[in-house]
Amino acid sequence: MLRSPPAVAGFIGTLSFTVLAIFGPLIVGQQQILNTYTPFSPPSLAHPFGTDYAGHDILSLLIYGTQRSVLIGFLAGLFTMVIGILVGLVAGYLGGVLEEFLMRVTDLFIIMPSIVLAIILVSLLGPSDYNIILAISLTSWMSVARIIRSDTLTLKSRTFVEAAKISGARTFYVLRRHILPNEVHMITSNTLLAVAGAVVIEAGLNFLGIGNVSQVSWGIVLYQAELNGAVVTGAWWDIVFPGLFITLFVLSVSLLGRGLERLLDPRGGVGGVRAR
Amino acid sequence: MSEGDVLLEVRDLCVVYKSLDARIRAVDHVDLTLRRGETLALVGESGCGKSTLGNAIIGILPANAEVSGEILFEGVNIVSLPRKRMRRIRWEKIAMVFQNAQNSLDPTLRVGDQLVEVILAHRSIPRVEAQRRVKELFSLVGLPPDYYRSYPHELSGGSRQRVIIAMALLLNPQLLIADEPTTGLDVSVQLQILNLLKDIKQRFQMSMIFITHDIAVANYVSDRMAVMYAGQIVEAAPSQALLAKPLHPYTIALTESLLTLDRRVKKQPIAGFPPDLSKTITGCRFAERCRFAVDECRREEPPMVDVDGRVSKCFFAEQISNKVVGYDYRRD
Amino acid sequence: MGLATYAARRAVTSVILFFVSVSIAFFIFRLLGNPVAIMVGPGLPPGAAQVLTAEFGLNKPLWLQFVLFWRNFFHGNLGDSFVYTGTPVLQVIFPTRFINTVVLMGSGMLLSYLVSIPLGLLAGRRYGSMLDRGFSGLSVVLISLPAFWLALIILLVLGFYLGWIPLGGTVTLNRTFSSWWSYAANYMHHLIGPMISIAVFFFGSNFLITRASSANVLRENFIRTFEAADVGEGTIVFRHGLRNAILPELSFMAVQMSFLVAGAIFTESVFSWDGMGSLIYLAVQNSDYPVLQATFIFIAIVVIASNYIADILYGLIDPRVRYD
Repeated sequence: MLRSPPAVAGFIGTLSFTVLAIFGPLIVGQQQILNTYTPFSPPSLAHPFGTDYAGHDILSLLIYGTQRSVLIGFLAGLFTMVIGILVGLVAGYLGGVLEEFLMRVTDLFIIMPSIVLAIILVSLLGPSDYNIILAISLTSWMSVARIIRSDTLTLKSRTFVEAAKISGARTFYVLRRHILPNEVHMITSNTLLAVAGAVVIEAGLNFLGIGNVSQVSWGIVLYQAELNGAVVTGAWWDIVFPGLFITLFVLSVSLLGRGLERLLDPRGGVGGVRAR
Repeated sequence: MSEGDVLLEVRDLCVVYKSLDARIRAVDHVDLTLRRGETLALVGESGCGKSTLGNAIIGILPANAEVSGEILFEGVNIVSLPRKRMRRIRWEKIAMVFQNAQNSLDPTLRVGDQLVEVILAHRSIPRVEAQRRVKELFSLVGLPPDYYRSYPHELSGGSRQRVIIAMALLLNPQLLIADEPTTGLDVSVQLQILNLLKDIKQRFQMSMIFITHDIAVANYVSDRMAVMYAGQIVEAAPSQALLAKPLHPYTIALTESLLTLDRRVKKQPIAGFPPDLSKTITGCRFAERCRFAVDECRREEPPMVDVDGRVSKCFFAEQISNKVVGYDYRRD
Repeated sequence: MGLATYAARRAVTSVILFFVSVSIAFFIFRLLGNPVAIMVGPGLPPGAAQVLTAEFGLNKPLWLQFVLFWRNFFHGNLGDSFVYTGTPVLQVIFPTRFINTVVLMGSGMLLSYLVSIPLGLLAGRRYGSMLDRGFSGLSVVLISLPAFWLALIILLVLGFYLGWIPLGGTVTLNRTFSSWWSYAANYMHHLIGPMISIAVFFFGSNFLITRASSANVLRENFIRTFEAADVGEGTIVFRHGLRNAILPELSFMAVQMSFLVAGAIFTESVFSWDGMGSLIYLAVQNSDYPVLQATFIFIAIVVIASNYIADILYGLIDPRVRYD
């Protein structure tokens, strides 16, 4: 992996954002984001990213808001994976009518306009972060389920699994000791990709003002920007920098995810599956 | 331009596949001559370079292939011919019959349309005329004309092969290169296809290069045979003669695997593996696996020895011919 | 013939999918919210509450409401909007907003395909080349961008800085149009921004998928056959390559639709384009549940219909799927 510059870049990026997420509100105190200066002033030495509609320093806002965005993304990504892995594993391993049913449900969810569903869910349940996490998870698990199922199907037919089953190992045991370890690379990389995707959706939902608009996050900064006419005023910094944060985060995590997938793949591109 | 004239001459041809970390010498200093109306079989195991040689002649080597030497077709060197001129030769003078692998034809188009497409790429004639020609060829190869509207996946292996043969004959080529055309088919169908090819060749007085790993099949269709090993031609002779009295240890081993079927003797697979073509090889390439090998074989590359009008790339060709160096079918 | 049966079977599946997804929405609304509050809201004219309660059986058991819901659906009755007080929801969405969204989604995707597919095919043909790596890198970045941000940037650059496109809206307000033509021209002018936004957003994923499948397809045996037959590079890439490589793209359509809907919602909000997307935004702000519910239904129709069309196209191109 060290030979792959994109993966290294991804790692560095992800690490930086994680640090920001954990220490952000400490670096930039709550007081600092409430301070107001001249509204909509362009980037300068004092305010590298400029100020927003009310005069808040955008750089501070973005650093402070990292925690909320990344946290929501992380939790949502995690739940997405849990649902997806459960569905995929059960469908792939147990097969039969259950698999057929689960795959139909997956197809249904894919066809249903999931973002509309997510919006509806949040609007019904209330604009809290937890509801956003729930809504994102319930509408993003499908692609994970498909991937895990297809991986499980492949592994299921490998000899060592057959051997385990014949020797009478119980289902749970086989799953735990043989199947899951060989899927670790897929799970890790997909978790990262799920987190990246969740952050984008979270930003989008908050941008639309569907979530809790009183707390700072990357999406909220853009929400305020749009609401208060950053575009018509030409305050490009209020739009470009928050978006850049989101994009860089997504890029870093995606690159890291793909890099890890290749690194951890037990097949290593040469052949031979590792049976624990 | 009469029967018996030299149609194709390959001189000192080398094909090297270049990749990031290796240069693979797939074809190494090959010389070949083919006359009009003659069928030459190229025989060898997988990876010996016979397909590469065929691809080189018709000019469909991949971009990472480096070619040196000459391929003279009707006197013209076609190795680095400009694209436009090559198009007048490719498929119009030299055509290829591919192995009936899965997807040798576009699965999304009807077979008739695919053949028409090929005709129209070379001749500006009305579509209807092209369609007529295709149907004409279909009956020639033994396919009912309404197969025109079939999709490739609807046809049996044998029928698909006939379509591929028909495709090759569209523009009346003078040279047909058949690359493993019967591999993968049922034995009975194999015979039908072989007879079809022989028949067509006869009827249109075409020359044919028949590429195969099966020496029995090669013998059935060809007048002459050239045996290839590790990118080189190790022996060439008229087919019957070669089979009756092979003059190269590799050919001997090949024929042994054939003859044991008759003699009910234990089958003799040739021990060992072909050499790594990305490394420089000193001496004879077959030395590792040759039962007659001596030190000299490993040190120096053997020349092409002429024995009674046949050639063999072995120091002991003469001795083998005179049975001085014995070979015994019952050796273990 | 195989195609007709295939089309019929897929049609049946589509109808079932529609029924199931709308029913799920029905239950989500009523189980997570208050069945009455879903259809009857504040600000409705007096007397409307009684009418709606009667029509939708809001005081009856849930299963009966379910039946009544579908009966009303087939009569075109989806309730009344809270925001546009008393106006039937159907009127709010259909035809204007519905058409606006379909036009936007359609034109955006079409533009995207027109650029990404040929480029993807060529990139697959010349794998590893400068062209390939350049556009691939670009695509990786593009798919990491949030849709609404892209829309904002385009609006900023093309609208604010270059003044090439209007800063929002579907048609310029408070202007009378002398002829149908000038109206259409004005509409088109406003369409440019959001359409480009959608096209660019999907360029990345379309390009990468086409490129990957193109690289695979162009490695197949039949490509070698046609190379030997020398039918020409153009025919190989854009006839054989295109037909075979586009199949995974069509399959991807299903997943892509949900992104397209998201893209539509965000783009319409940013550009104030009067479609179903911006309607959702309005509806959520005002808790206009009947509108939300109905918009979900209409979007489901569009998505399922598009999937159906994609399936049919797939069947037209690949004869192998028609038989099973």
